[in-house]
Amino acid sequence: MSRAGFLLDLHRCVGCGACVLACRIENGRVDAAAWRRVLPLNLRRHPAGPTYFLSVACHHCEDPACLNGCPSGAYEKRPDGIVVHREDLCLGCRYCEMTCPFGAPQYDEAKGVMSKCHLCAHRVDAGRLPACVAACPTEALRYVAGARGLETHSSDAADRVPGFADPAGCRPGLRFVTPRGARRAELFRSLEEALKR
Amino acid sequence: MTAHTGHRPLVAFTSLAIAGAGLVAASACFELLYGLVSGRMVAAGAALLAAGLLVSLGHLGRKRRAGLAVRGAGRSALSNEALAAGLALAAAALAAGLELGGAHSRVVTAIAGAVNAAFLVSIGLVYDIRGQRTWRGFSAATPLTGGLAFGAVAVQTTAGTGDVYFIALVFIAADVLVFSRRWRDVAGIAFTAATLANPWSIHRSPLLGARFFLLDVIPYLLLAVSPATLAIGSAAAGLIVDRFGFYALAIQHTTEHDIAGVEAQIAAIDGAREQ
Amino acid sequence: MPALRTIRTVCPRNCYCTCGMLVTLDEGNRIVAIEGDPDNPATGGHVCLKGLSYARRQTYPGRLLTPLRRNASGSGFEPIGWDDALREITERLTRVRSEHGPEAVLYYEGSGSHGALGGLSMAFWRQFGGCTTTFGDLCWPAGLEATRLTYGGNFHNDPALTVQSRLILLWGHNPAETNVHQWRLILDAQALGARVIVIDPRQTDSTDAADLHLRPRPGTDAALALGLAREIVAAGLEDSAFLDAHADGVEEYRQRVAEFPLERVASITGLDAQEVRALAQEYAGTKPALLIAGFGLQRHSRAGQTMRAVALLPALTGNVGVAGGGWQYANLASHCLRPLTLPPEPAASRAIPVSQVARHLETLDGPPIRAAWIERGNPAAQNPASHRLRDALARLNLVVVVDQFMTPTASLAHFVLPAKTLFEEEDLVTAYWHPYLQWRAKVLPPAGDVRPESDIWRALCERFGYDTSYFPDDRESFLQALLPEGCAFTIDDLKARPIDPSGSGGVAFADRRFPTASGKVAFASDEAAALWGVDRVPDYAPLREGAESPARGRFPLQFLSCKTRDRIHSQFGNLDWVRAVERPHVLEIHPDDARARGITDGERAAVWNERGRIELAARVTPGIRPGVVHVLEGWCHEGDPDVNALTAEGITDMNHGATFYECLVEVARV
Repeated sequence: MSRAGFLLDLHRCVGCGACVLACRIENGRVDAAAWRRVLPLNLRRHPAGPTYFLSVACHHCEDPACLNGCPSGAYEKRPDGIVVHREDLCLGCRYCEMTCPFGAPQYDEAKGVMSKCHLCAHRVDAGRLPACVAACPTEALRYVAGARGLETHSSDAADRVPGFADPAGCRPGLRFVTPRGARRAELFRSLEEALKR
Repeated sequence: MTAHTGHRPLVAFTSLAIAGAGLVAASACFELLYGLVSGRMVAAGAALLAAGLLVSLGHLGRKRRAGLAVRGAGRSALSNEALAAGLALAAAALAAGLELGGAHSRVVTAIAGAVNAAFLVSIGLVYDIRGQRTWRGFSAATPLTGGLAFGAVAVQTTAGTGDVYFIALVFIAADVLVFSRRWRDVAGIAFTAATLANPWSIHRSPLLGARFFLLDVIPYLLLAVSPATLAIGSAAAGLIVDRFGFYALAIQHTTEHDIAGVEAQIAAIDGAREQ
Repeated sequence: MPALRTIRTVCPRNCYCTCGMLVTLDEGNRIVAIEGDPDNPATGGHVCLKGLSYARRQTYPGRLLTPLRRNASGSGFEPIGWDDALREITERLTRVRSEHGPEAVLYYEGSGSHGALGGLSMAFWRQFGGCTTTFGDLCWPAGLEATRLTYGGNFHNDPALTVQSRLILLWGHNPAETNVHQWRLILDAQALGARVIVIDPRQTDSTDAADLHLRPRPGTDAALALGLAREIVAAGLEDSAFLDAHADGVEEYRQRVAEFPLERVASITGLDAQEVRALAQEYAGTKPALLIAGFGLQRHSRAGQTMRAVALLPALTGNVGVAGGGWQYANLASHCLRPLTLPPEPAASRAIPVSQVARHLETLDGPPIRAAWIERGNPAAQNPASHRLRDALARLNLVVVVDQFMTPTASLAHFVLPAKTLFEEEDLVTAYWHPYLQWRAKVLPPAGDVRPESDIWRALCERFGYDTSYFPDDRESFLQALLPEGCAFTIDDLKARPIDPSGSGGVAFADRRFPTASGKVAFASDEAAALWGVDRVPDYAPLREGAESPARGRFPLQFLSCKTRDRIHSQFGNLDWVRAVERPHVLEIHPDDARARGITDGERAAVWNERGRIELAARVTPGIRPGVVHVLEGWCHEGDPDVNALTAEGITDMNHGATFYECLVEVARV
């Protein structure tokens, strides 16, 4: 099966939130909760650690907790790896909200169903990039697709960084390029080591 | 993302369902072991179960699609629970009907008891979610042990005579053993920014303690004492506090919590350096 | 399939990027996509979060859609029709003019929306008989003048050439927030091996990614620049060939820089002497090196001389006129449009410095200001001494404000007229970072009862019986006539893609011809001395309200109020989409300063000086230099602190700029 997902370059992401707004526009989420969030790490700039940002949405996991737990089968994993939610099969039981360790499924009070990032499957099918990726002004957020997809990036991109863990073993489709720049790379490295201890 | 802290329909549903299924399963045990037949207990159990299932619909965003909930049986723990709930209700209703109608069948009652016990297990499995720190492990067993304890107290105290049936003590003891592990697991979670993001965290000891006393200790002491209502009332209250506390103390993993943990670590490194 | 149409336009904000934009609408005229125009070589296929937020801003609840008049009790506003509004405004303007004269009306236009048609307001005011306008600029004029005096004009290399730099020195500049497209190019250069060095008293998103970060005291940059020059000269690293052929006044300059040995520079700036030396050697020793100076570097009274000192470093090291090198401050290459045809300027035309509006509202006489028309700006929040400005406006006989939202300035008005958005009127938009001239399309009809300002002015002229021939009947042909004489392109060409009118693109001063009086780079300048009364060569003098000021006895902390990417000044900050992702509203204070005042993180703190006082939550962070505190500017949502309660109405040493960053305060727990 192909693995589609995101590659986030932690050195290039400035935490601006353009990806969040682009997703809102593309998917008509004007008042509703956004499908993507940008989370700062050490915005306080403690000198003992690096400062960077995590842009997270749905990561189209290899073993999705949402899909595994959904009682009505309202989640499907496409051959290209994208996990899509079927609104017409959704009971609004909110179980996926509990099981997803990344906060991807959002409950819509008015419609009584869940929704989440679908990697802009409609754009991907038309050969275009997801809206968040297309909008990123520093080109920090990238879309990875294809037969080998994320596997290709595993060797030079981390699947885990301080601040992003996979406690449920879902194997999210999110890879990170770790920070560069003389100062931040050093701080990042020493933070990773400190966390291992 | 602690969306379900104290989510009322779920608290109500699981309280009623666990009480009802526990009552049916306990009744079956009392009948099989001691020949104590109580059509009214089984019927009460079925009624509580039915009420619980009705209330659970209130939690759904799309109530009319409730029937879809069994589509994932085999894959989804929640789907299994939905299926088990239906079977448990059907079996309990059948057993109650037979007993009250005079056409009592030990086999049917036994099956109803087994299916309802299985239902209680299936509830536990729903909440055995990796990434939910206070719901894993022994916490998943408390619907079964708590339900059986409640059911045993109810049947015991309505059986009258002042004789304490051994099975009641067994079920209460089992619940004590299992719940004390849950208590230890939950109380052992360090207070970090992540855990304190749930405002109920600081109240965990009173909540867990209240549940323990109400469901296990007080009914145990009152087992041989009349009136029955005190013991049953305490056990029922204990079950409700158990379920309320279960949702209230939920700590779901989120990336936000991950980050908070790392930031705390950075501050600690910083603090260590300054010294 | 619903029919979608995509229209090319441009963002007209006061921002370096001036992004080319593609807006897609559905049949219901709803915005379904906003994307960058891939045919703008500088901004490429991206906009920023603010550009994306236009999809929300266009129809945001609270957007003003009809004229408003202050109600009888004065507590709020009531909607009125344009006829009534214009009739009453006409009557009241006429009355002010007859009682006090036309200069009793202040016409204030801010930088809120760029476009050639903005100048049409003067078609009314000149026929009105004149008015009081402002001169100078709140933002960048000292640096512009310093660059002009030094190099002859404000032009710099095409941003695309950034990737050829081997060293990028950002001085008082935070492009990760304020010029995100430049930041992308800097990251690309860094990925190719370039070193990124930032000089900034604060830690910012730019310093996070930098290879080296120096934190001098604010306002000491002239000493640092002169000290670096001294090190460069002492190490023999200056480009003698370039200096011999293309520089003037180098000898005088050498004598000046000799006055700035490392120990003196270290003592003034608070930097380590060795790190200053190391920077000098690295900057001079790496070729090509690009020096980008931000506007923050010049928001104080020694701005012009500071900018001259910094601007000379690329010339000193032979980094001028080379790809990947240069002095980069502002690029006016696209500012080529012909001036509007306007009525002749009447005698009764007066101008006040834009950084001193409050003072002049309070004290100006002969005649005093009795009325104000404010558009495209929010001076009651954004100008120095904002609280006094606010009070002064409140005492006027007539205030008319044109805006999209009820800003603090609009809330003081007698009449608020609803302003257009960028989608609702066509225009030509220049830029000040990339060299592209762009067409701003009319994407949508004006919402509600909104009229573009150009129509408002025409309507006022009609009411006064003035000549309206200055106004466009057809904007396209009107704007076509503003394109430079003999230019090879038309509006239709601009609709298809952004165009560099100079056609030169590429490297500024590649031919080493500098439009100064001498034709060379001016290390010493008679013109500077004559025009502005400053020293012929750049020098350092301590700020009146700075690190060496005696006022520090009472107000020991330097106060900065820098820019954020979440807003353009006070625009965008009201939108829910932006507030959900914006940086927190906090006072940044160093742990040493916080500890000394018993302030803990998150606690409410007061910031004050003799001009005013604000309160907000403190964030204790090592990310700000000790002795310096910081609050982002541009908040004007309810309850937000107004930094300009604290700032002074100073003027820069050159070109009538403002001195926002020359401000001393004290901080305490509340």
